[in-house]
Amino acid sequence: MNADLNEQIRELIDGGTRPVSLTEITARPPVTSPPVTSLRPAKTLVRHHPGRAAAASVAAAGIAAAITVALLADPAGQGQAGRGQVGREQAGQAGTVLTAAMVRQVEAASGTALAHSGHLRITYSNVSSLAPGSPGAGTDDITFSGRNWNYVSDQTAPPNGRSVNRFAGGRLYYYGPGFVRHPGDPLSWFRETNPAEIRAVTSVTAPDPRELLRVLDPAARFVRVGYQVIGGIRVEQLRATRLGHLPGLDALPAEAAPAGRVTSLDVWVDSHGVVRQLHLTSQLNVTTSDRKKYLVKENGTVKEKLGPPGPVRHGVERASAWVSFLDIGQPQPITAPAHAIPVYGRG
Amino acid sequence: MTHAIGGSQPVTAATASPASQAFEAFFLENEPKLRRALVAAYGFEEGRDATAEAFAWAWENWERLRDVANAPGYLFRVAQSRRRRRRIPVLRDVPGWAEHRFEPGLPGALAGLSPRQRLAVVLVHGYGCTLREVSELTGIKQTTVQNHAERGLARLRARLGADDEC
Repeated sequence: MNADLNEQIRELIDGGTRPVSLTEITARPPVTSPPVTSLRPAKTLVRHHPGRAAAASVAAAGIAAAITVALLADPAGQGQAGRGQVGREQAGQAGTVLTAAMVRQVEAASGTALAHSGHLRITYSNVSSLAPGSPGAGTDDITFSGRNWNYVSDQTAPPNGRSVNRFAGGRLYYYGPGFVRHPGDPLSWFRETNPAEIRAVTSVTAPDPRELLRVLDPAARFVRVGYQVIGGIRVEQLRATRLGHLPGLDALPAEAAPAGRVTSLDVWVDSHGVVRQLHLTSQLNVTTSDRKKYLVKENGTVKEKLGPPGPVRHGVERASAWVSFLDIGQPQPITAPAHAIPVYGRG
Repeated sequence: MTHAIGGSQPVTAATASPASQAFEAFFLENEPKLRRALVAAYGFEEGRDATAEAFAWAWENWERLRDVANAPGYLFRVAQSRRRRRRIPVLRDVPGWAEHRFEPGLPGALAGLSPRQRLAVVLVHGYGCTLREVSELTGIKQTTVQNHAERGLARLRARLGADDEC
């Protein structure tokens, strides 16, 4: 009977519960306070002030529950809303801080989703209070698939036309204003033949979205803001509250990179923990002093001299960039253009 | 190989960090043992919940936990300290299976044992764990585990009326 009873006990215990999954535990509320235990760890655990630990424990439980609901909410609402962005559905529990594990989870899930292919659309604008009539704006579309990428840059202010850099099959191609075989000819695709130029262009031109995901740093202390629907996908808006150090922004193209100090960073994450959109604002204090230059002739030579200093003007340049992650997980066909004209060093 | 750290999106071994892979290995090795112990101690629902709670803590504190000498035992204490407070273990509430392959009175008989007796009986007799393994996991002395296992089994057999069959 004993052997039979033992087997029955196993049947009862194993049959009564299903195993805990990794997905489940990473979504659960974390327990931040170390347990009261007589077990001696090999290394001393960090001690917490008892009062702080208790408070942190209570707070963490609430926060984590909120995060769990936020990040792993049943995406039943997906597809019910129309395209485009609508107002926030819910602002409850806003302001709670995401734990480091949650932020890393978002980064990992996003990195996985973008591991092989994807599509980024970066819409940027900037304006200086000293020259409000001369804003800068444009849109970059970057698709990538494996090592291939296609980078379409369309600067609308000041108008600079639409240019394309494409890297396919180990070769770099150009298309855009100025790329014509003869003056007056229609635009043509050109293929770069200078290896050094290929290396230089490919290293600086196309931002790697996976590098951009490094902004998801726990040190930024992301907090919940609320829910929105973007492109029919229910997402949660997270906001960075510590903006001093945001790695990954170097991956943005120069025209969309922050000017001076970052003033806000918002991230929209879907129910799978994948980043769908980023919004970055920045601000740069600028000072100008118009000082005319004169060309004077002294002892037979022409020299340049500065006139009297003009009034000093202080202003602020503000920049904004939206980064949308589109077609996540969708294959991106990037093919070499036919009949590209070889060119040496035109990038 | 895939696992689910990082949400419902699968994370491949190639993209998972070494820490994630180490945690996954730790989880796969220790989840059954910890779950069985906690289910035995606290019942199906609460025991499973405590297991998930403990591993959530482990995931959150992996950098520290990986250096702990007896990490499963440490997690057992985490689960004990974090579990929801309930007075009665719920082993009686057996999920509605189509076929029960155990004595109908077994859940009730196990539920009638003290938590430590139930824990010892399930781990030692049910799963063949050594006294040392149970002691390391639960923090209870080996001799105490042995006493709980023997007395618990005797009570269980008595409740099931199994004495005559031995």
